[in-house]
Amino acid sequence: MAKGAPARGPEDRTRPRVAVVTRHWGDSGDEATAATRLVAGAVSRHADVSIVHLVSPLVPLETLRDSVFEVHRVPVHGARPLRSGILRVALAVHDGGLGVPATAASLLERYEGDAPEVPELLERLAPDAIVLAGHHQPYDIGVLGTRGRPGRARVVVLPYLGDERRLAAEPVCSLIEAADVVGVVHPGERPAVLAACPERSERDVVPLDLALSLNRNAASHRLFGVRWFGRYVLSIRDFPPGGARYVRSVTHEVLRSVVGRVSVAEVDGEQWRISDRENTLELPVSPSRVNLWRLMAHAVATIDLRPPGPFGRETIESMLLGTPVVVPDASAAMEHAAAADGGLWYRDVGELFDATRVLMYRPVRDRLAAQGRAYADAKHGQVDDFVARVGRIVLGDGVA
Amino acid sequence: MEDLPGDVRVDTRVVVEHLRSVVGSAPGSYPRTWLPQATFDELLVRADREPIHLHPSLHHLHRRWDMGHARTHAGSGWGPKAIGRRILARIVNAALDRYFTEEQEFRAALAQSIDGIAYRVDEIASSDLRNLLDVVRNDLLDLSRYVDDRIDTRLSDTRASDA
Repeated sequence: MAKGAPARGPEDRTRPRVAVVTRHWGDSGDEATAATRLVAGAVSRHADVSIVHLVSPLVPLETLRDSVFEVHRVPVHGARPLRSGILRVALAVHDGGLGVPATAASLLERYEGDAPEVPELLERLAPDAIVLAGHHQPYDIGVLGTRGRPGRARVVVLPYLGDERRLAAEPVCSLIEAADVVGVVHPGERPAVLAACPERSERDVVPLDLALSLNRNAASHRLFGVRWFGRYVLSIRDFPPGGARYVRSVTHEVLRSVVGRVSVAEVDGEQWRISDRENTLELPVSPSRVNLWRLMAHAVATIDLRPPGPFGRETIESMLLGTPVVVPDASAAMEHAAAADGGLWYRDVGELFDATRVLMYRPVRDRLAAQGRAYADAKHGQVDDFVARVGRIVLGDGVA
Repeated sequence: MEDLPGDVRVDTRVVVEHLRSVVGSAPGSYPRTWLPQATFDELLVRADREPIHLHPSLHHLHRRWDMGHARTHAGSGWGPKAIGRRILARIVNAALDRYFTEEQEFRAALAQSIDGIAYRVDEIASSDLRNLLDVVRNDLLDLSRYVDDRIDTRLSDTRASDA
């Protein structure tokens, strides 16, 4: 039983109560966690928020306080993330995850573990709405009840499909079927959800348009020493430090030779540097997001070399700062760049160089920068609109 | 792309498709100013071994093979030295024209051959990787079938003992 998680009756409610069930919480700087925290923060303006954090490896069932959130840590039993990852990669590398054999699919599901305590915890919390953040929900989702049944808590699913959309389509579909509303975090996710679950109406799949607040004042100051290198492109190889990365995708030196006289700044985990043809400067700064903005705001272009994430956060930030992007194809980042007409995308190294060279041409670059910024400001720059929108999505149209 | 009149919106999908069609329509048009082919294999890029096609010396070769500019560049300035240099350059070019032409063809052929070899080596390495992944994939599928069979067997044992 969770410590400090008292059962609540309807009589002690002053505000609506919302439970967010997710694996994506805590200190991890990954995109799914960032998205979940943004949504939970927005919901907390309208309701009391309890986070049901699914944790593996095993932890004792416990309740903690994290800012305005009450966090219930629930263990996921029997999860085998490494095996699951290997099997996913082996299946996806050949056919993009299409045609996964039933045996492998059931095995994948099994590798994701089980959190049998969740239904009981949800029953005790008795929320008015449940947000399922992430498509990994390893428990009997029958506890959510049938959609449309009177008295059932409103269920909102945020699938964060990202690049796993095809492979995850089957298990996700039953989750989406149980939802009253599906919230999507990038423009490509909506058609993917509707294609995978054609019985859902378009009205039920709504864009969240996550709002990001940037410190533009801080970003206006260049990092120390960068000015001496003149114009530069920014390549992001690993950020936040410790995230997923490709090994040796494009070397710093080759990228520098492609962009000619323009310098190259590189963010690679804890190591940041900038170089031109003759000189290299290791940037002695902490690898913080504000420092990333300070590099991003003055760059000719931002080149994203990382494995795609489910949300494309740095792409949106770059466009908000007026810097066009070069991002991987078939990713959330690409969907943002295409919807905004604020950047180009690549399938392979050759296309990455093609796209970067196009952005060396100033009229195109300036136009993409302006288009990207207009889109990002309108869709992702209005925090108050976002808070109101999330309130309506999670609690229904009755929210002010 | 050269002209961007007024406030015309740039459609990035069109730009990307245009780039792809340019590369796709002339995949063999090497040597040229250095630009790796856009058909580059993603598997290879992620491999432990650095693809030969991204080697800096190949880049250098592609930048330096063409003598065309040096041969046609007439120089600038109207001082006596500049005029003297131009006259000398014309005389040398005229005298050695055949040699320079052959040299240019040789350098182009050299760059083209090395480029072709580099691609072929990378292709072979990529194909090896693909074969290896095939084997791993099949092994994993066999493993998953085995585990699944074992689970089925255990479940049927349990059901039988329950009955």
